[in-house]
Amino acid sequence: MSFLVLNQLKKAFGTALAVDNFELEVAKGELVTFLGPSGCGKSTTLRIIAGFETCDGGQIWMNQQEITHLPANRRKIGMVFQSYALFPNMTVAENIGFGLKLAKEKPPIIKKRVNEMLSLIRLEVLAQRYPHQISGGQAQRVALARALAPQPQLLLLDEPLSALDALIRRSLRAEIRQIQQQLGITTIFVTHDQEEALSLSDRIVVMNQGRIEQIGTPFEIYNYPTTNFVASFIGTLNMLPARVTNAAKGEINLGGHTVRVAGPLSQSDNTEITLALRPENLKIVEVEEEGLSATENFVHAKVKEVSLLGAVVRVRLSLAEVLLELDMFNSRHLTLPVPGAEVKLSFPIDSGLILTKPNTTIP
Amino acid sequence: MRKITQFRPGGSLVLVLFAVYMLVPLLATLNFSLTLGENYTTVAYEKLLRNEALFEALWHSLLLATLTVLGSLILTLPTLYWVQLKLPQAKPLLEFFTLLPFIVPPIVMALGLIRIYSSGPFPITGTPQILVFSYMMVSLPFMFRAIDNALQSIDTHTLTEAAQSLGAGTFTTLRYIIIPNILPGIVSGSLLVFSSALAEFALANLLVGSAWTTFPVFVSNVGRADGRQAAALAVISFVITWLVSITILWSANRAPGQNNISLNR
Ligand SMILES: Nc1ncnc2c1ncn2[C@@H]1O[C@H](COP(=O)(O)OP(=O)(O)OP(=O)(O)O)[C@@H](O)[C@H]1O
Ligand SMILES: [Mg+2]
Repeated sequence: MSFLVLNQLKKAFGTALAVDNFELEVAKGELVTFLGPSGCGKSTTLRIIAGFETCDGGQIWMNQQEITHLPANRRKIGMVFQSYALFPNMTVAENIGFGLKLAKEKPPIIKKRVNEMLSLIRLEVLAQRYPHQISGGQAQRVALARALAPQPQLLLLDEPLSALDALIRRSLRAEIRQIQQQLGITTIFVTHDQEEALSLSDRIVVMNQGRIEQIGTPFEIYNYPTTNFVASFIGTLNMLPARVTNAAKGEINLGGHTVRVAGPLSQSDNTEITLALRPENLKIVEVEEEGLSATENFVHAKVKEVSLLGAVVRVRLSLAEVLLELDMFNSRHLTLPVPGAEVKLSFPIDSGLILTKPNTTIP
Repeated sequence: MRKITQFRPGGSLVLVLFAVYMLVPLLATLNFSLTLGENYTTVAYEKLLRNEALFEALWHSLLLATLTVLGSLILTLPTLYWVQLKLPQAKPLLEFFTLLPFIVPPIVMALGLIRIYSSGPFPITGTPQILVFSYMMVSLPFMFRAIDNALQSIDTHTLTEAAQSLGAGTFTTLRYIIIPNILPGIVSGSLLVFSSALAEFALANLLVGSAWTTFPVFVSNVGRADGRQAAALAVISFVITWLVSITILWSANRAPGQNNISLNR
């Protein structure tokens, strides 16, 4: 049995379902993120696990024990909040030691452990400061140390980086991941930032409207989305209207071109579908290389707009009346496409995803 | 920043006017209590200090005020904390209740209390107990406002959850997290309740009267006989209130971790 098991969790506020049939198993030492748009029920699920919110149905098992009805203060679950929630009346050291004090540890042990935690977050010099005397990034590290000091069985973080600026956010993200791996603590991290989720998770749970859309590694979630929602929520995606022309051979009509996708398709001929293509899977090519036509599609398009995003150049093109975006790596020797020019595009036949109705599972 | 430290004549003038307004009646009272015709005399104070009834009344009032503050705190603090956390919808109802004592005139309230508590399960009319309870009622708005403001100025909800996740129960959270962080509010509420209980006359006179004389009732009795002694009593009661206030403020400021909080606010 996994370390943490969430079995059919349900929660409604009035008539609105905030969490619907939530099922998840988390292995010991794993870092799982809940990712989804605002209001999809990430915090509510986390708060049910923490014991701050009751659930209307389902069970929670941790370390082979059912904790569904255990009060929050007896669950041994550490929590980090978006707003830090440090105790203003206590110094940094007292904040970190508070959980140990409640556990009736002896003062020398508390002192030793507080010092360990302070060195873990590299803030030894701030031990005697009060929360209003430290920066947001420092406060969140203290909050992390405070949650970890009593050696909880599980660590929960609810958008811990959202209140910080971009630079601190990125470095603290790496620091949290490093500390998590060093201590091997089972962790659930809530975020609505996909870059955050992709970069630090062992697995991602993508949520939408209280339900789980997909559970998978960052690689699986990005490259093999199983629902329309996941495909369009993670990364940028060209959603191109197309029509099935030969389902058996996997041929579709895209803006007048016949292109192939990994077939055979389950849709019948003449079904209107959406072809989803990631901008980085499209390439501008000079000539159609004969040898590649078995694995690549080639289509003609017109350049509309070119914008430099830094490491990446994003090109907007039109393919008949269909608009799409293409990403190419920036380099000093790159010849930028010129708006108005006719170009030849290629994309691997297995890079396209076929989407039918919104929010249905991709076959 | 520089503006704050600059000397501003307008501000000082306001301050002086305020001090004059507050001090003149007090000084006049002090002067009246110390003069007999053209001469200065302490005879009023000497008479008072020889009167044992004064000390008894004073003791009664201090006891009453202390019990009122404690009762009010025990009633208000956990209730407001609970409402803030779990029942925010009930807040308007509570606010309405706390305004009632301002709406109902003391004389009406006294008659109502006498009617209810003269017989029945709690026949406490004429006893000090009824004063404690009715003072708690009358001074509820002061305690309520002060603690409510303080609770709203901290993130009560998240701080409570943070404490819970570290293993704290409700009592521990109140004791170590909530109370220390709203101490300024508790102190100012207590001061208001204490001084209003110390000075209350109408209810004390109507509900208990000479059966258990409080300080204001004593002052009124003396005043009927000797105005000079009454003035001396007013001065004494001012000094007492002032001493108590200073003591409470001082002890609150000595509480651990408190300095930073008052700076923070
Ligand atoms: N205490 C509450 N009372 C009523 N509705 C609530 C309550 N808490 C959350 N909700 C509702 O439940 C749904 C899920 O909320 P939740 O806070 O879990 O979303 P979230 O995924 O954390 O969003 P965000 O990214 O904005 O934090 C929302 O529609 C929200 O309005
Ligand atoms: Mg949230």
